[in-house]
Amino acid sequence: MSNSDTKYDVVIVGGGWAGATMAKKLGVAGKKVLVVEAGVGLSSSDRETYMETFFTAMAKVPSSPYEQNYNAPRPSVLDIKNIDPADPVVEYPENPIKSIKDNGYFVENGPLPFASTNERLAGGTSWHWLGTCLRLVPNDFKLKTKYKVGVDWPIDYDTLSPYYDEAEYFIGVAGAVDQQNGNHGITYTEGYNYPMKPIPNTVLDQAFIKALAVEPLLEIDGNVVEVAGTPAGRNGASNKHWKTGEIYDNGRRECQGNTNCTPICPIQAKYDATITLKEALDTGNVDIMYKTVACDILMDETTKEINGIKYKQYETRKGGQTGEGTVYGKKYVVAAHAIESAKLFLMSNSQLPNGIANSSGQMGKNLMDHPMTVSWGLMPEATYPFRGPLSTSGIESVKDGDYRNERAAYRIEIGNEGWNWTMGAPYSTVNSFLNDDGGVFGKELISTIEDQMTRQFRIGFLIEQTPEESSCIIPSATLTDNLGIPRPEINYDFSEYTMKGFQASRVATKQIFEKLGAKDHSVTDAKKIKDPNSGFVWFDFEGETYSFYGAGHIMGTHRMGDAKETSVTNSDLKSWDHDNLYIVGCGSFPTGATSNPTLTLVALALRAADAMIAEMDA
Amino acid sequence: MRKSNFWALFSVTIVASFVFLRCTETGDSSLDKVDDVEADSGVKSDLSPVLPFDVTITGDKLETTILHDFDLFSWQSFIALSWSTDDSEMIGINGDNSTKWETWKNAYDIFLENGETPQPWGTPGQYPSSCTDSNGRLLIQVGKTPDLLTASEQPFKTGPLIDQNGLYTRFEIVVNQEMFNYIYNNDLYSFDGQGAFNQNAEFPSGDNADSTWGAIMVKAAWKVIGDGDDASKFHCVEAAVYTPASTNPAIPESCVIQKVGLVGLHIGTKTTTSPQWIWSTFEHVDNAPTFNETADKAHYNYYKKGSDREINASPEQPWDPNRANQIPTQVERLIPIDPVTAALNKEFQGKLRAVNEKSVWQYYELVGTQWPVDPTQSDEGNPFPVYLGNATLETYIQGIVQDGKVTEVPGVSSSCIHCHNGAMMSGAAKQADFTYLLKRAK
Amino acid sequence: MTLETFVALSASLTGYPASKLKPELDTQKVAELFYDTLIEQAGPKPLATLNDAFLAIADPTDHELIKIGIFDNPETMTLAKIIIRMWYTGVWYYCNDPQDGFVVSSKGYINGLVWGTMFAHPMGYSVSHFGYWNEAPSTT
Repeated sequence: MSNSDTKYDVVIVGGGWAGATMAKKLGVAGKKVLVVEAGVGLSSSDRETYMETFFTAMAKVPSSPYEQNYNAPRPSVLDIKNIDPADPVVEYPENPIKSIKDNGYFVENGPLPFASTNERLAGGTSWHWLGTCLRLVPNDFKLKTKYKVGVDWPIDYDTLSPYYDEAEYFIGVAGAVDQQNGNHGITYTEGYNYPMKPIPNTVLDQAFIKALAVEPLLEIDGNVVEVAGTPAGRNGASNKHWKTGEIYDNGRRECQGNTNCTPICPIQAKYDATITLKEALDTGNVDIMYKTVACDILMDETTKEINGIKYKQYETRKGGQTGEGTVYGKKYVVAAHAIESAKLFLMSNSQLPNGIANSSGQMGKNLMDHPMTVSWGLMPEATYPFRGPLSTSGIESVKDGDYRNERAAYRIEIGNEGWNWTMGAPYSTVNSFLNDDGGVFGKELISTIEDQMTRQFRIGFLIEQTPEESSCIIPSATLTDNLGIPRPEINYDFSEYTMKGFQASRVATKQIFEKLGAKDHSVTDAKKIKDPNSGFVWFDFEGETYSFYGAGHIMGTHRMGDAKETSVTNSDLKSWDHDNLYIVGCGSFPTGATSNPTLTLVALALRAADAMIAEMDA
Repeated sequence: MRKSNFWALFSVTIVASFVFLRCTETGDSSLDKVDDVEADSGVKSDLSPVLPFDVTITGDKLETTILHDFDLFSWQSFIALSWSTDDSEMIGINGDNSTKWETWKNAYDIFLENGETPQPWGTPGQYPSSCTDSNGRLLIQVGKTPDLLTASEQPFKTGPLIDQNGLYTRFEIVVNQEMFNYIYNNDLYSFDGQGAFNQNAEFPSGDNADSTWGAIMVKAAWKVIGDGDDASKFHCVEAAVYTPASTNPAIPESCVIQKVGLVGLHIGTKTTTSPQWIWSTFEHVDNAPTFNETADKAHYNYYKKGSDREINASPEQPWDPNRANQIPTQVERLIPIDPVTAALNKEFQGKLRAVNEKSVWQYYELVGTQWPVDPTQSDEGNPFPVYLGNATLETYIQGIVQDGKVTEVPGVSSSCIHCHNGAMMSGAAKQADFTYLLKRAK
Repeated sequence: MTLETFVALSASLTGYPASKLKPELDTQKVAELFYDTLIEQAGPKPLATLNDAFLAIADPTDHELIKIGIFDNPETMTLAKIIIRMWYTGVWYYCNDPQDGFVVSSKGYINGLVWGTMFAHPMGYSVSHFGYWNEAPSTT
């Protein structure tokens, strides 16, 4: 078997966001596609099973519905802790299950812990994404030119804009052009409209809008602080198509405000990539192999073309390997997630010592997230959290400006889940009402909950993280998963520029809370943050201690660029080194900007699919 | 709301004089021939062709007496709806009979392309052009206007249900005159009409005191009568089995007239006692065995004895009804029929058999009735039973099997009211009053 | 402890009337679920102590009497707080630990009282319709 005698035009590694998007577009175009998915497959009882697991999980974290799979493990936020070189974690190289159970999947070298997670199953991390569908702003594409920071993207906003249109229909986004239009130069195709009307905002959003409208308006680093509705991949009321007049209907239900986008929408009102994966399978041109973990990429020594991908298979999440083989296609797409894709290329080093697709040396480097400051407090009046989608509005007006010469940008997400994320409300809150200072019960407990919990709120700053070669992933030389495949080893740190973004977020928290008349309950005291029982991860910067969270936005590990010396792929996401290889996913982002990355990831995947189809049809 | 005088308000003892053999052996093409066979005269029964307006609650125990009251409402509704349009023809006296609900308005005839105004009540149904010849006549003219089956998948893209012969189960939804009139009078049949209406829909409620019927919708599941099916045990019709064109999967438009047998029937009734509607669901008795109970029937419509196929798993894709060699769905009922309901089933099946030993209606059973126990407690009104599903209509969301036990999952496993509570209009962000039909407006 | 006593005690501790905890037409049967969990998890001795202490209280609707006799009583306070937390969150916390425990069941979770007390719904289980969050809830 080889590329020439396979029936597949394209082999795609990964059935998540990027893989499903590519598979559908290629399948619809009549290309024969094979998807190789490491995790468990789709089943009609998925949502019931995952919801039951979620309901009965003590810690309702993003991974809580999805059982750990030791043959294709994933990280969990419960495993994230600050790294103490004096007290290294104990690993068991001979017992991968125990090792992963004890320490989590990532091997963290520090100095900071990597705080974001992903899922490995059919549909990928889309199972637990929030749904936010923001476009990047034009200056995000030219950070170097404009602000002398990081690198530029090899494409600009205008190039991507039509693919944003396509991606918004592909996902099914509820939003409004006038919420976003003109926001730091975002423009839309003339006449364009989102497939669905915006998701209504929450009582909390309205309180923000009202407070921030009071003169003098709050300005931060030259920008007026304004609330904007967040376009989201959640079902709302339909629009007529801006060109055809056709009424948008994706056959799924409207959002019922379950306040559970992350970790799982119980009614699939939120788009996830399983929808696209099923549509890909419906083309009749797409086959899929589940529980099949790619572990080595082979190359034709003469043409340098990829010539097969080796895999290992298993049957149960804890059982051992049950099979192996090699898949072939005329072209290959690796869309296995920013960390897994980079790991796979670096592991595939039997023919090229630095790994496949890595002549630039950039593979696995520039690991980025949107590290977050989360601030929480009590509003002066009830704003009723735990109602509606997890987030319906944000502050986008502050995410670009001359300040980017000096410090990292951020966007601010307004959260509708009280202190759930940071403090584990309502559980922790009920506990403290019952036990602190003697505690209250009965009617007093009811009135305390009514008074306090209805005022809980939080905001989150998604901070731009600059790409740094020192933040990187490599395959572990000693530690493996249950199939014997190396676990990802992560070196991670923030630049001073990024840390200054944190600094600015703390100042902004004060200003915003003051404007709201809200009482700040965020933990900023160094001692409290550093208390090992607090569960915080943190860093010190210029005399202050900052706790931080991951946004789950894992980017940068196979960056695209203009030159093969400094990037892994071109802007079509085609490898500079191997003519029949595309590498797709958030790993393609040269810089991280501040907008949640999914929409851009899908737009880029759609663009890459066009490039592949054009190449095949040429 | 205007009262329906569609059915006479009388009952009960009816003398039948014809046997109208609608459903005979498989492959029999004499379906609609009327055989003049003298039946036993003087059949007495308390079965009634009159639809109840609302439930009559006599009991005070949720799981027994009140449940019985609602189940009785369900059976009375089923009997009345399955009655011939001729009230004097006792149900099943001729074995099978055409039914009242099949004369109701098909969703396909209400929500038209471009939001056009539908034909008023009583106008014969329109058919897709592929079901008609160049003169607009139905391809095959049968005795009555055939049911138009337009759907081949279960809701929210959960997948098709494939019978033992490898054929897709087909679905249709019809509404009564009260429901249609509300849609018609308020222009809710179109996207723009809904936008102009711009308020929550509120369908009329059936009311015992006022003797008014409320909105009723019926969703039916049908299987093509084929090998292994005993046609004399089904309510059968010749239906236009319509498959709309689809680009993905690539399926050409088609329309075939086929003999199909009723396998599942939902009846949703809006009433004064139950503003979240009363949800009655019936199935053919041979559909599928109940999980962890002995499969003691020789033949099931959706279950093969000894098969090791995963139960209640949606079929492999592409989901294309025209695909050859489809693998049948292996169905088991995960939410068992309540003993109170089962007892009432026996009672009604006995009554139907008493009318005619060959009545096809004796082969149907009530799976359950869901209603709101505290209508004002929340938008959902505290439904009971908490979970209810039809093996042919909610095959894939009946619960999960873990360690040999069935677990129903709150908010995900089948509950009529929980799901329908989320129904919205298409042209406005307004509630559709527990029907997803309004979402179809163009 | 009988189910009846458990419900009466739970009413005194949670502040919600017995008719809410165990309604006449009870679709969910949460009281039975939590009662079974209590019998299974609480040791016989703490359970008997709590039972006796509660039955000794003349007027279980008197907040002060419950406070002195149960909630602040070192003999009974731990189990009493575990019971309150179970009713409010659907979680059984071992020894009233801040975190260590288990979710009684998915039904226990969705019926936790805390959600309704703050006019919300359990995360992952809304019984309302699209857009409800755009307006403040009815708090009466």
